[in-house]
Formats: sequence, C-alpha cells, structure tokens
Amino acid sequence: MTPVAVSQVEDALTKAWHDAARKQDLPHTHTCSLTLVAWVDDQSDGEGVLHAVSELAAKHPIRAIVLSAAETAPDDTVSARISIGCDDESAGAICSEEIVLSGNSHTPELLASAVRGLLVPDLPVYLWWRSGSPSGNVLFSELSKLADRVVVDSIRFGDGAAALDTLRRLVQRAKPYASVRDLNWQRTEPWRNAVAACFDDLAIAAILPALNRCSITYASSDHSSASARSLLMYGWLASHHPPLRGHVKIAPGKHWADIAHGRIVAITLTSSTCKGSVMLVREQSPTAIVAEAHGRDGNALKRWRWPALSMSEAQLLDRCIDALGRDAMFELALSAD
Amino acid sequence: MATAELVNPFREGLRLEGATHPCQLIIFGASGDLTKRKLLPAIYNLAQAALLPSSFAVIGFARAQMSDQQFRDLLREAVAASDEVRVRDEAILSNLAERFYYVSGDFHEPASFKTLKTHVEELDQRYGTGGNRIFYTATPASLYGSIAQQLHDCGLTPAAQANSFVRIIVEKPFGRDLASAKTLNAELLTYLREDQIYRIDHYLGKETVQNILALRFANTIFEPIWNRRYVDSVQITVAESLGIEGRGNFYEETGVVRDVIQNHALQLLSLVGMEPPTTFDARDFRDEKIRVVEAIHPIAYDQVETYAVRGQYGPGFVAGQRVPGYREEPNVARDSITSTYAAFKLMVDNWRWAGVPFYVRSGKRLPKRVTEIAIQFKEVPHLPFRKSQVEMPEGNVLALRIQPDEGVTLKFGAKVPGPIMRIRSVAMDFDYGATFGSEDASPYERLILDCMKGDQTLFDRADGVEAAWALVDPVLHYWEEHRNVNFPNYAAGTWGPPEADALLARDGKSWRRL
Repeated sequence: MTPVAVSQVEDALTKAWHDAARKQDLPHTHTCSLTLVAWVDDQSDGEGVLHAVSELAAKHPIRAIVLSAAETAPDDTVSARISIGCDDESAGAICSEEIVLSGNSHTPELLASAVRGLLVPDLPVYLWWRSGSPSGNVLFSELSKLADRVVVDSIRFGDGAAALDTLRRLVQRAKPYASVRDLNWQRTEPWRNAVAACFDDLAIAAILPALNRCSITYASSDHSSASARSLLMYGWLASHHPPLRGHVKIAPGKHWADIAHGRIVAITLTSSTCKGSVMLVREQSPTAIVAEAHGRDGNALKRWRWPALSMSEAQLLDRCIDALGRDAMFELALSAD
Repeated sequence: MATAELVNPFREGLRLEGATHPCQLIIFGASGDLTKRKLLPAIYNLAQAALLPSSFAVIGFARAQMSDQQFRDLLREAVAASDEVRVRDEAILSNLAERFYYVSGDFHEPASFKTLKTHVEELDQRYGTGGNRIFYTATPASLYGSIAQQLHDCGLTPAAQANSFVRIIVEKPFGRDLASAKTLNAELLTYLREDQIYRIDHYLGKETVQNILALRFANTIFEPIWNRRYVDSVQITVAESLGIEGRGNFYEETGVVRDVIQNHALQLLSLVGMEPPTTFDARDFRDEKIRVVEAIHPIAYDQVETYAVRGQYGPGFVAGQRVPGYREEPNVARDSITSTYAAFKLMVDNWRWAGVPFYVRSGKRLPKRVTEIAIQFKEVPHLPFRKSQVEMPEGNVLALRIQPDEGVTLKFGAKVPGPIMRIRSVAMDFDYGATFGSEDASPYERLILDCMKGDQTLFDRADGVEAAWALVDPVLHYWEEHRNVNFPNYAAGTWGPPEADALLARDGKSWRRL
C-alpha cells in the first residue's frame, strides 16, 4: 500500500488508475458500486479485516475505507495508505480501491472527517462496525450518520440477551435513515432455510398447525445465558408461527463444547396435542443439518440432509451487501418476545 | 389454474423465498444432447443453490436403453463436463443423483407411457411430490404432439386438480412455419390448457436480455426519448463466428430465419419495442410483447426483396483460420440454398415507432460472435458552432450488448481539448461483469425454476409464436419458391452479403461496425 496524505488520496487514486491502465493497456475507467467503511477496533485484527475486505472487493467494485485507531498515534492527524486492484488483469475484471486510515483513538472526529471527504458521491455507504457495542461511541455516532446501512456482529456485543437489546436500540435509532444488518443473524440462514425446506413438503406442512413447542440447543462450554443466535432463531420461528410464542426452551448442549460458543446445534418443534415433530440436528464431518419429521401418530415421515458449511466473515458481509433494503425478517425476529 | 396451495409461513422473507413446490421433472429425450449439455447441469446448479424443492425427483425417458444407475452416471458426466457448473459439491451431487430414475420407451407406444405412469406414481409416494409434474420435451418437435397425447391417454395429465399441477416445457423450434405452429398449438391445446404449456426460448432466460427491461422500465431517463421523435433507427445483430458445427442435417432443414430470426431476434425486438406493461405478471408482460410483433408491418410476398436479404457463406477466414463454405460442410447439399444469413428491415406500425426502421440481421461465420441492440438517435436539429466549422456530430447511440461483454454503451459527442471547437464521439461504458461479476445463472436454470414456480412470464404464448411465424412466413415461402440465388454470396469472416449493406444504404444508413 502507498502512504499518502489524506488530502491527496483522491489524486493518488486517480493516478494509480491511470498508471495501471497505461501499463495494462486498459481504458481509464472503472466502476464503483458502493463505499464500505470498516472500523477495526482491535489492531491485531487488522490483517483479518483487510483480508475480508479484499475478498469482498474481488466480488463487488467498491471503495473500501478501513479505519483503525491507536492511543499512541498522533492526535492531530490521520495517516492514509491506498491501493487499487482488480480480481484479474483482463478488461471487465472487478476493480476496487482500498484506503486505510489510521488515527488516534482519542480524536475520533478527525477520523470521521477524513472519511466524510472520501465517500464516493451518490453511491450507498455501508458501515461495517467490527467492534463491541457502539452505544455512546462518538466515532460510531459520526460514521453512522453517513451510512445507508450499518453492519454489526452481535456476537461481539457480549452475546446473549444484552446483545439483542443493543441490536434493538440500534435498529430503532437507525430508522428511517439507515438499515441495520447483523452478521450473527446471517449465520442462522442455513437453519432458517432448513426449517423452511421441511415444511415445503405437503405432508409435513399438514402437521405444522399442531406444532406449538420449540426447543433450541446451542453450543456452550458453560451455563451462560442463551446465545444471541439462538434467541434470534427463536424470534424468527415465533414470528412466523405464533403458536410457538412463549413455548420455547433454549438450552446449552454440553456435549457440543467442541464447537464455537453460541452456534445452534439442534432445533426441535413438537406438539402438546399429538406426537408430531420436526427435529433438526447439526452433524459434524461433513458438516450438515439433518432433519427428521414424525407424523401426528409418531411414525417417521421423512428424513433430509443439507450441507451446512460455515460462512467466512467476508461471505457473511457479502450477503449483507447483496440484499436490498431493510431486512424485515431480522427486525421481526428481534421484536419477538 | 390448479396449483398446490402450500402453507409454509417459514418461506416468507428468505433469500430462497418463492422456492418451488414439491414436484417431479420428467425429461423426454433424456439421453440426448440438450439434456446432457444444458438440462442436467442446470438441475445440478439449482440443487447446489438450494433452489430445488426438498421433495423432488427426476425421471429420464428416452428410447435408449439405460438403467437408473447409468442415468445417474450421465448426470455426473454432464456436471463434470459442463462449464456452466459453478461449484462442484460431491455431497449435493450424490444427494441429487439418488433421486434420478430412468424409463426406456417409445414415444408412440402406449405401453411405454403406462410404464412411465407406474414410475411417476411410485415416486410420487416415495418423495411426497403431491402429484405435481413437469414434463420437459427435449426431443424433436415432431414428437411434441404425440407426447402430449400419450400423456393424456395414460392419465398423466389429469384434468384440473385442486392440489396439484401438471406443466409441460416445450423446446424450440416451435413449428417450422405458421401452419405447423398452428397445428402444434392445436395438438397441445387438445390435451393441455395454455397455462400448462411453457414454450421455452432460452434467450429470454439470459440475465442481459432481462436487463433490457430493467434499463427501460427502472430508469426515467430513457423512456421519454424511446420513440419516433428521438430514435432514428434500431439495429439488432445476432452474429455467430461459428459455422454449423457438424449439424448439417439440422441446419439444412432450418436455416437462419427459423433458427434465430423468428425467435431470438424477434424476442429482442419485442423487448425493445414493447409498451411498458402494467405489471410484470405473465399476462400483462406477454400481452405487450406480442402486441409489438403484431404491429410489425407484414412483409408481402411481392415485397420480400425490398425488406429482406438472404445470404450463405462461402469459404473464407475467421479468426485467423481458414474455414470451409457452407456447401462444403458435412451433410449439406452441394447446391443447397439454405440461408445462413438474413437481414430484415421491419417497420412497427404504431404511435411510438411509426417511421423508425428496425434493422435485424443474423448470420453464421461472421467475423465475431456478438449480439447487440443499438438504438441510433437522431442528429441534433441545429448546431450552434457554425463559426468554428464544426462537422455535424454523429447521432447518439445507446448500444445494449447481450453477448459477449454484456453491458451498455452510450456514445455521445465531446469537445476535443484545444483552442478550437472540435467534437469527437466518445463512448461511456457500463460493463456487467465488472460491476456484478460473472456468476450468472444459465438461462435454463432460471427458466426451469420459473416453470416450477408456475411463472410463465418468460415463456412464449401460442399467439406470440404464431405472430412471429406470420411475419416471417411470406419471406420463407418466397425464398423457397425463388431458388435461383447467387449462393454463396458472402465469404466466411465478413459481415454478410453486399445486398445487406444495400438494404440500409437505400435509407442512407449503414450497419454498425462491430
């Protein structure tokens, strides 16, 4: 990456594009679809974030502005480094720009002001807040004013019910100017798809009205409070099938201690009036979700198996960027009691 | 229409919302080329994208003897060989292959269809597909009528049922002229309703073709100038650099008008020329599309030479390679008068397009493979730079590139830097791949999925097919009856015969240099 003064970033990028075009005999044009502003809280995570941003930049033509702050950095200036790159060198390749801004953690206004001048005009701005709860954070407050969409990861908010409270507040405050997306919610997607797929079957759909109990098991090495992911999953289930409201059991699965904390490992929907049930269980090696449905009389009806590969942070972020508008299902899941 | 009414609240809002109803897909012509090259990879891609219903099975039907296991092996071979498969996942492939079955039989033999019916009913029970069936006719068109009749006679296309659907996907060519298309429509409609018939033209499944609709109807800047006041002419080019690739028997019977102009090229014309539909549901969209084709001024038998040009390639050079002429290709008659090139001047008789010529051309062995629609705008009415002796700039051109290098280019005049006023045409380019990547679903994926969902929007309707045949029929008849033609009249690797240039020159225009 090339160090450059913040005021010279635009000129330096233009020059970099011209140089690259001359060298590779390409037109002096490139496309941009959005600005991604990524905040890295933990300096040691910097490489990981840059890797995720690069992965994303190979799929979408973006301007990525990665921000980091250190207590030891000068408190009167922001330093910048830039790079440009294409996913391959042919014409028509996806090309992106990366700008890394570093400043002092006690002067967030400086960082925000640098970002403000570097947004691509008239294109959406996505703020990826890769940090803990943003409540009361001045930098977040400044950056979220610029953003059309705020992407967070509630697993970094301490997990559990408190994380969901933080999410709810974020969603409320962001309305109607911006939408909020949660990578942790995105992680429930394979489970939501699997549950939905079970009830595509007419015979299984027929027992759904009788299913009014739900249990969700999540991976845990201790008896801490329910993971945010399992709570979000319950919120989604209950908002789509109201008989489940208030009839849920969320519990840690001790024997799943080898899996990352908070991951959903099983969902069971049962009935208080018959023996009908749908059970979905996570299997290891190869990772899959296996489902089994039983009819009202308890007889096995059907068994399914779906691959359930974990998505990287970049893939989760990509999903958040790809989807248009608000995520009504996420907001419904959040608002479920 | 009788469609299974599933109550699955969990589908709402998912990325895979609108996922399909449980069903069986029965492929006629399962051992054929289309099945291997296009259908099986498309089905696998749908499975890989988790877009197939969880209750799903495939039955292949063809004359060739094959076991279930051999049909499953065919799936594996097709997936391995296809460059349309994006991600190869053994677990998904195995899971899909387990649901593949095969029935060997004769398309005219009732006993074969009884066997098929037994299999369909058995798999219905095993997979819980709820009586939902999609039949795909990947066979010669001459078999479509017979297949529909046999399906009806053996009870595989029962009358409307409240809780299930039966649909048939019919491949092009849909007839070889107006009379045969009408006969085929009548045959199919004897046994099936129009809402059960999905006439597939894979061109409409292409992302970039659908982007024409987005460009026109999701932007405010184009529609106000999309008419005779601002548009000078429209050029539609569907050019192939390849020859007939060993398909001499097929091409001798078909020719470029039946192969491309009657379907793909007129589809493109209708998307460019149609009025905005009220909604994008199948009825509104297809009504408007068909209206444009119906509004094209008919080419009378005695006007064919004024409005249409035919050509056939001789030997030449394409991309640095010497290539044979059409008449030297295998299975082609040495005195063949089959057209490998055609150009039409079409006039759309309606308020929007009166007086605007639509020039349509398509050919084999042209210098490059390119499909595009170019909207040529009128020149400025007055140029205020007289003192600077500025030449009248060329009119603006909006070029919609369908393949390859999908995108949109707008050509406009810009001042060349310097002390005097000089104007040069420059191009502003939008490249689809550079913006959205290139992981497009194949047209077959999109269209099979649409059929599973019961969405006929991107499929042809009987009256649309007949309107297109009605337009080209007089030309085909004239050419067949006037066999004294100076073929070959263009060398492979050139942009067609001189008569095609003359067609535009008469209007003071020329083909775009592509």
